[in-house]
Parts: sequence; structure tokens; C-alpha cells
Amino acid sequence: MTSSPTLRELVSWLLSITKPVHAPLLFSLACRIFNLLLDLALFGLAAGGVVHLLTGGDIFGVLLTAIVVIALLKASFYYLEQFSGHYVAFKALELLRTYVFAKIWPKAPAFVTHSRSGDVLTSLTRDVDRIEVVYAHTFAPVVSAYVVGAIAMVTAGTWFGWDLVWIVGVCLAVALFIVPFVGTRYSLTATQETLAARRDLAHHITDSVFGVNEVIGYGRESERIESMDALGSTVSRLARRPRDLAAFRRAAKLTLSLMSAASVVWLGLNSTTSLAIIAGLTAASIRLFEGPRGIEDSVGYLDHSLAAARRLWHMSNAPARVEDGPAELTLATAPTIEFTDVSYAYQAADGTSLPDTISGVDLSIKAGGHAIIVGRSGSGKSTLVQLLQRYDDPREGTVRINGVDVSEFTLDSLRRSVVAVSQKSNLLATTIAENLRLGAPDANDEEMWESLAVAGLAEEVRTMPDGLATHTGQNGSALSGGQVQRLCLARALLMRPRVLILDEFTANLNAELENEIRAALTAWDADVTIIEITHRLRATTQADIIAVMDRGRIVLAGDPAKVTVDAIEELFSVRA
Amino acid sequence: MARERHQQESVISPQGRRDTKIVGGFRLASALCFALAVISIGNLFDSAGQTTLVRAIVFGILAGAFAFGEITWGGRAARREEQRLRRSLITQQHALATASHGPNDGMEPARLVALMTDNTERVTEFRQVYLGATLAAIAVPFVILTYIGIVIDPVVGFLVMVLVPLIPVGIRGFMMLFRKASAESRAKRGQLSNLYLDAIRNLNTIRLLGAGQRIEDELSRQGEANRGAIMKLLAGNQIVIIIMDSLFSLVLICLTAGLTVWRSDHISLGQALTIMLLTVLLLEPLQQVAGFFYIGMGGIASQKAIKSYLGATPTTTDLKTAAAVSTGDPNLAIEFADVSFDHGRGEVLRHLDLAVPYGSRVAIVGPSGAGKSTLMGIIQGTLPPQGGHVWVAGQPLTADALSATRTLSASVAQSTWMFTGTIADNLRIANTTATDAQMWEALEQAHVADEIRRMPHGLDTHLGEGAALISGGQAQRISLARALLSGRRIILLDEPTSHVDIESEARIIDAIAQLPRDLTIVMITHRASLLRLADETYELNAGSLQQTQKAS
Repeated sequence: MTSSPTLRELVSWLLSITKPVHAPLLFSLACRIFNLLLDLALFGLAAGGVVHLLTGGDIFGVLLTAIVVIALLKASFYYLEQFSGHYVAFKALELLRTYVFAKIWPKAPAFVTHSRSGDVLTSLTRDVDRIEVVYAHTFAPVVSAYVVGAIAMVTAGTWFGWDLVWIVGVCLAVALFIVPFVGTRYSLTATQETLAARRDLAHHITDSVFGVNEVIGYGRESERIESMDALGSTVSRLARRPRDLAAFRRAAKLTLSLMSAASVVWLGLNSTTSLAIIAGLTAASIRLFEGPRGIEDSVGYLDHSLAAARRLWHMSNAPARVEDGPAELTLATAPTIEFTDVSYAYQAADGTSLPDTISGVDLSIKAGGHAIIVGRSGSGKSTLVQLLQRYDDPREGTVRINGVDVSEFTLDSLRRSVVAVSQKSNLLATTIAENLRLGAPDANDEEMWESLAVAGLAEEVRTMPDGLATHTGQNGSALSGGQVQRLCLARALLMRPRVLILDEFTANLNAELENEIRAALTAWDADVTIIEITHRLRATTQADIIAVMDRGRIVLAGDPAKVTVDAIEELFSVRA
Repeated sequence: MARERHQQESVISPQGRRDTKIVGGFRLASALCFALAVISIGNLFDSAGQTTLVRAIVFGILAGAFAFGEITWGGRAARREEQRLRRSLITQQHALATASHGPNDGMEPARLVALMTDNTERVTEFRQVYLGATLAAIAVPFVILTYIGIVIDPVVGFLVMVLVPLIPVGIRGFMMLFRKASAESRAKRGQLSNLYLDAIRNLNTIRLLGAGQRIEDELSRQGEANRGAIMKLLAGNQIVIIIMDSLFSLVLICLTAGLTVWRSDHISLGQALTIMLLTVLLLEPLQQVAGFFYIGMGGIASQKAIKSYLGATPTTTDLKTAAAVSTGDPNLAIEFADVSFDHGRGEVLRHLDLAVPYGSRVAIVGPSGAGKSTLMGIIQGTLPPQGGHVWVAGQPLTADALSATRTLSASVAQSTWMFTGTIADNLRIANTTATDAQMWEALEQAHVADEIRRMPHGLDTHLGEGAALISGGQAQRISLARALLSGRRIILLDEPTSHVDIESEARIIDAIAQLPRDLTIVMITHRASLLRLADETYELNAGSLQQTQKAS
């Protein structure tokens, strides 16, 4: 098992991934520092220059040239900073995404199904975004605030005397080292609590909106509105404190900048410094406080980003649950399949074993046979057949193809021969052709049309204006539910599998279409072993073997003559 | 403009609009105190005096205090307005849910949830926090220059002011150019994210079909190509940054400095310093520009969406029933006489008659779209009939008595939404004062008590959002228990077994068969096993009912 990385390991791991953006990041930082320093120079020079001219100096031409040159330089650095900043942002995002994707795909599907939670994937993309923000929007502003502050103070102190600017130095130190950190932890907690309260509120609203029939039917309208308001008030209360702290920081910044400016004039007039220099320093000291903006956000952000990096590290370094076996599986004909005394348990998020989802299952399917597994949702049917594709290995017992344990084969070769069509639509947001070719990259148009025909979808695709190039939309949203399901079936058929798993594949089809497809499937290729999962009792007659599952066990199995619809209904009503 | 004003008025409450002004006032006050502090610093430059120094510091503190006020007030006001908006939205949902289906109320529930969470937050962050401050920030340069024009030197003040309108114009140009660039780059970035999300979502499929390496390469190739395109786009578009930035510093600073030097005969040294320091405030509007993209655009779009939902008028049709309302037949639980209904797309029910005696079990079948759900809606009291007479439990159905009608029957729909909370919480929706014993009795009747007893905390078992912890079949039976617990004598079932597994279906049918005979049951179904339970079966076709099976 992987242990937690130290901070040092974590940071060096992250830096090793993002190496290509380090140079542009430093470049962007340098540009930002120049931009900020030139801004100080511009204001200082303008104010000082005007006073110098008014006190009899004769530098108008020089002053004007200097201002124009500085303004243009400043703008150029600003441009370079922005451009390189964007480059860093996009490149860092791309590097992180590619890295993480490359690390996790080999661990699918166990990685996704194992915890039985879709949260892993959502948090994964969010975590990647979070780390990108550090590179794109946190590093340069924070570092430049301190660097510019230091350079400006040292320059002013050495050139014009520390006795003139020491108060500015104190104010800036307060702005850089104290103000951003006042109540940061507290503010961070409060922000987390606000977000949690907002989630509660969103749950409540989701309930009210989706459950509107119940709310109205039972006359609970005002009650729901009141409890929503109560949750809303909690959000308001919690959101107040972080905002108050942000307000305090803005106020402190304004006041400190004005105090600095006043102090320069006050100290300057009591010294021998020239009026022009005093004026210039005054103007520059006001602008000096524009720099510290954003530090306080970063303090909190860094915590989150480290947590995000830690999660990504764990995901990337987690061992795969199943490894390739030594042999390539090649099947010239339909194989036999045997589950022998198979038991399986999922693990909870904390790694402890949950109760068995499958216990002691024995099932043999003859070569070229058609098995149907029936049972209510949650009875373990899908988990059982997933072991055949090696989503994971059983806790006990063996799963064999032609008498050989499935763990003997390489994962790719196993999954090329054993193909599943599940009840969930699994289409990429691309064209029909690209989706079809996902499992069979070399398939030509003719082959694609052929499998579409078997799946009963060819006619409909032909009438679409773009034919095979039609876009399926995200999750197949541009197609009907039945079309998505048939497209998934066609994709599986295109791979010419020797074992075909049909997991509730007719859920979105009407009875007529279902019968047509069944007929086409029977006619298509006799040399395939089919395992079908269903909770409906239609069309069980064409099976060789029917197994009824309940709570992880096979409670009844046999041929259609033995396992009739009546026998199954009998079984359940007795148990009820 | 007039239309926009109208639109703003209808979404934001009067208090909310007042808060916008208050926030703007705070911002303006903060800027003015900043200016007064700067003026004091200028005075100090002319003649050092302790009182002047103190004045500068006091105004400096006041500038900070008002800035504090601006942010805290804005935040509080936004949360208050958010509450008001949510309340209006949910009230509107209730109004629309109990009216005929107009063209505007087809909002997806998920979209409505977004409207009530994300969108309300965005609107109020825009209206109560950002807008007032921005309007004030735009006014600040004019106020400052007026002061310079009147108190220090008219030429400097008013000549620069001539150029000040160029600031908003410049900002506008900047925004327009930038908006295009940022929209394009956002779109590109969005494409890239979608590609990635799509791959992540389909991770299992990709892996199982052996496409992992191919998709990885494809992602990285597309990412690189896309990034190249974005950078090219930005390289050109961001030239605007150079132009705007140098223009601002050059025009404002050079012009102000030049004019000050030119008018030096009329300006003291301290005033000259004051003028130069005040140029900082002329940049105030620029600080709000960045926020426009994050807060402004999102806020305006959200406001439009909310406005359009709140603007949908529920179609409340007057009942064309006779003015004199008669009492119905005392032996009938439900009676329809000559009832018609039209959702605006042609009549769904045509002069329909129906009589359901107390204690009978009636099934209604018919092709989809025949109006079965409309018929149920009228019995429930969620749809006002448009013609004819309806009596439920002897009470005549009238437009203003719809909510009273809704208390007469209880429904089990095709799928049941389980509320976050415990099983008991879900049952109490139908009857707030139900005891545990009553709840168990209802659950027994619904044939789900055994399963709930086996759950770790029985009635207090937490269901989690979207009832992820119980099966659809269990949810349907809990819904039936809830209907029984309500004590209502008319039970309406709308395809209650269409989405459940065989075991649950068997149990639901058993439960319905064994319900007390004094309950009146109306069910929409196609299942033969449910139809067997009916005393009478009607087929709804072309808007009218045909009896197909009579009680034997």
C-alpha cells in the first residue's frame, strides 16, 4: 500500500510533472516585477518632475521622454507577463491532465467501480484545476509583491535616506506580513463552512424542486419555504465573517497607503531632501500598496492546492488492482465459461472489506451457449459478469474460459474477446463512426454498416444527414435512448467477440425492436457465447441456462423447462 | 434602455435596489475621503502643520472605514436579496405546478435548481456588490476633476475632464475587444475541458475496449493543437493591452503633468503634488474592468434567466362551470360531467363523463398522449378543468378551491422523489403528527415494513440525496405507505410499477390487492396483473372514456 508522501516529496513530484513550464513561469514573474517597478517609477517621476519644473528646474524634454519610454516599457512588460502567464496556465493544465489520465486509465475499471462512487472522477478534474490555479494565478502575484516591496524599499532607502522612508517601510511590512495573515485560518474554516451550508441549501432546494408533486400534493409548500429560508440564513451568517475580513484588508491597505504618503511629506520637510524627490517618493509610496493585493487569497488557496496535490498523488501512485497475465487470449471459436465457487466483496473507501456481494457462485456455460442471469437490482448479477472481464479478481474461487483462469491472460487480449454491452450509455462525444471504432480501430465503413445492421440501427443512421459522421453529443444526448443502446451493441459486435455480455441491453427498447434485434443476433454469428443479464422475464425461452440470483447467490438454475416464469415468480412471492 | 430598466425592476426588490445605491455611496465616500487625505497631504507640502498631518491621517482612516462599509454592506445585502429571490422562484414553481401547462413552464428541474442556487448568487453578487461600486467608480474621476477645476485651477481640472469621457469609451472598446478574445479563448478552453471530462467519464469504456493509449495520445495531440491556437489568438488580441495601458498612463499622466506645469503661475507646489496624487483616483474605473467578465456578464445572464422564469404567467383559466355550484352525487367519490381540457395544443379531454363510486377500484388505460395524466391532474386538483363540472368527494371543483381539492386524494406517481432525511421524515410529509406505530402500520400495508426493519436504523435510516440507498421499488412502496398515512380516502396510482424490478412489482401488486376496501382507487396502468385488481376498466381514447370491463 502507498504511504503518504512528505511535503518535500509531494512538491518535487509536482515539479517533475510541470518542469516544462518553470522557465516561462519565471519569465512571467520577472515581467510582472518589471511592470510593477516601472509603475512606481512612472508615478514618482511624474510627480517629482512636475515639482522640479515648478521649482525652477529645466528638464521638460528629458522628463517627457523618460515618461513616454517608461510608459511604453511598462505596457510591454505587462503584455509579456499576461502572455507568458496564459502560456503557463494552459501548458500546466495540459501537463497535469495528460499525466493524470495516463496514470489512471490503466487502473480502470476497478479504479472507478471499486469505491462504487463517481466522486473520484469529479474530484480528480477539480483537483487538477486547483493546482493549475497555483501556477497560473498565485505564484507570480505573491512572489512579486514581496520582491517589488523589497526592491522599492532598498532602492529608496539607499538613494534617498532611510530616515525619509522608514515609516513607509513599516507600513509596507504591516501590509505584507501582518494584514494578509490576520484571521486567515479562521476565514478559511468559515469559507469551508459556508460552502457546506450552501451544499445543504442546494440539497434542500433539489428536494423541493424534484419533489414538487409531493410538496404540493400534501400541502407542504409554506413549510418547505420556511426551512429553505432557515438554511439561507445560515449561509448568510457564515458568509459574513470571511467577507468582513476581506473588507478589513481593503480598508487597511487604503489607510496604510495614505499614511505612508503623509509620512514621506512630513519627514521630508523636516530634512534637507529636495522637494522634487519628496513629491516623487510620495506618489510612488501610494502606488506601492497596489502590489500586496491577492496574497491573502493565496494563503488559503495553498492549503487546498496541497490537499488536491496529495489526492492526485495517491490516485496516480495507487497500485492497479489487476495486472496482465502472461498469455494472449486468442479464440477461434466460442469458448466455455465456468464460475467455480466465486465470492467477491467490494471495499469501503477506508479499505475495509464490505459484506460479500457474491458468495459461492457456481455456473457453467457451454461453448456457444446462451445464459440468462435474472435477479433484482443489487443481487450481484453485474458484479459477477464483471469478474469475467477482470474488473477485479474474486476473493475466492476461479473464473475460467475454456478451462483457463482469466488471470492467465493479458487484460487487453481478454477484453478483446469478452465484450460487454451495459445498460448505461457509454458514448464519447464524437461521431458515430469514431464511437464504433473505439474497440476496433481498423474497421472499415462496410464492417461498421454490417454491425449497425445487426444491431437494428443501420436504417436510422442512413437517414441521418451526416450518416456515420453524425455527432452523438455528450453521453449520446443527440440520439434517443434506444439508439444509444443499439449503437453500443453495434460497437461490441464490430469487435467480433467470442463472448458477448448483454447487461440489461434492452432496457431502452420497446418489445418489437427487442425481438427484431434478438432475431438478428441469433442469425448473426452462431459462434459466440452469450451471457445476458436481465430483471425482466421476457424471452427466456431461447436460453440454454437460466440462473436466478438473489443477495449474491444463485438460488435457482437450470434450463428454461425448469426455470419458468412461474417458477421465478413463485420464488419471489414465497420469499416476500 | 427602458426595457432594461423594466427588467431590472421586476427581478430585484426595492430593498435590493436601495442596497445597490448604499454600496455605491460607500464607495464614493471612500474615494472622496481618499481625495481629502491627498489634498491634506498637498497642504502639508505647502506648509507643514501638525493639524494638517492629523487631518490627512483621519481622512485616511475614514477612507478605509468607508471601504470596509462598502464590502460588508454589499455582502450582507446580497445574501438578503438572494433569500428574497429564492422565495419568489419557489413560489413561482408552486404556482406553475398547479396550472395548465403553458409554453413557458417546461423548465427542467435541474435547471430550476441551478436558477435557485448558482444563478441567484450570481445576480446578487452583481447587483448588490459589484454594480453600485462600479457606478461610483465611474463617477469618481468627474468628482475629483470638478474639485480640481473649482478649487485649484479651472484649466487643469476641466481640460482633463474633457478627456475623462474617453475613459469609459476606452474601457468599452477594451471590453469589446477583450470580450471577443476572452470569449474565444474561453470557448477553446471549454472545448479542451470537455474533451478531457468526456474521456474521464468514459474511462471504463475506454479501458475495456482497449483504447486507453489511443485516447491518451489523442488528448495530448488535441491539447497541444488547441493550446497553439489559443496562444496565437491571445498574441494578437492582447496587443490591445499595450495600447490601453500606455494610453492611460501617457494621456492621463502626461496631460495632467503638462497642464500643471503650463499653469504653474496659478498653482502652488502643494496643489501640484495634490493633482499628481489625485491621478491615482482617475484610474479607479479601471479596477472594476476585470470584475466585469467574472461578475458582470454572469450576473446579467443569470438575471435574464430568472426574469424569464418569474415572468412566465401560469395559465389560470376561468372555470366555465355554471355559476350556481351544486353538490355532487353523495355516493360518488369522483364525478366528471362534460369535462374538456386543452393544454393549448388542441383538446385532450372532450366532453368527458366519469363516475367513480366510493370504495371502487377503477383502472384507466389508453395510448400515451391520450390525456391519462391530465385526467389524473384534474382529480388531484393540480390542473383546473376548463369546461364542465367536476366533483371530488362531493365537493365541486372550482378555480379558487383547487388547494382544498388537493387535500382529498393522495397519489403514487411513476417514480417517487425521496427527500433527504430519514424514512420517517419522508413519511411525515404526508402526516406531520404520525406516530411510529402508525408509520409501521402504513409500511406493513405497503409491504415494505420487513425490508425497513432489516435496515440498520429502521425508520430512522437516513436515505441520502436522491434516495441512493434504497431501490426504486422500495421508494414506490414507501410512497404508497405515505399515501395511506395521509388518511385520504382516494388513492391515485399513475403507472406505479413501470420502473421497478420484478420482486418489487410483485409486492406492490400484492399490497394494492390487500388495501382496505373502503379506499377508492384510481389507477393508470397497462400491467395485466394490476388490471385484474380493477372493478372497472376504462379506455381513454380521443379525449373520451370507453368502459372496457365491468365489475363482475
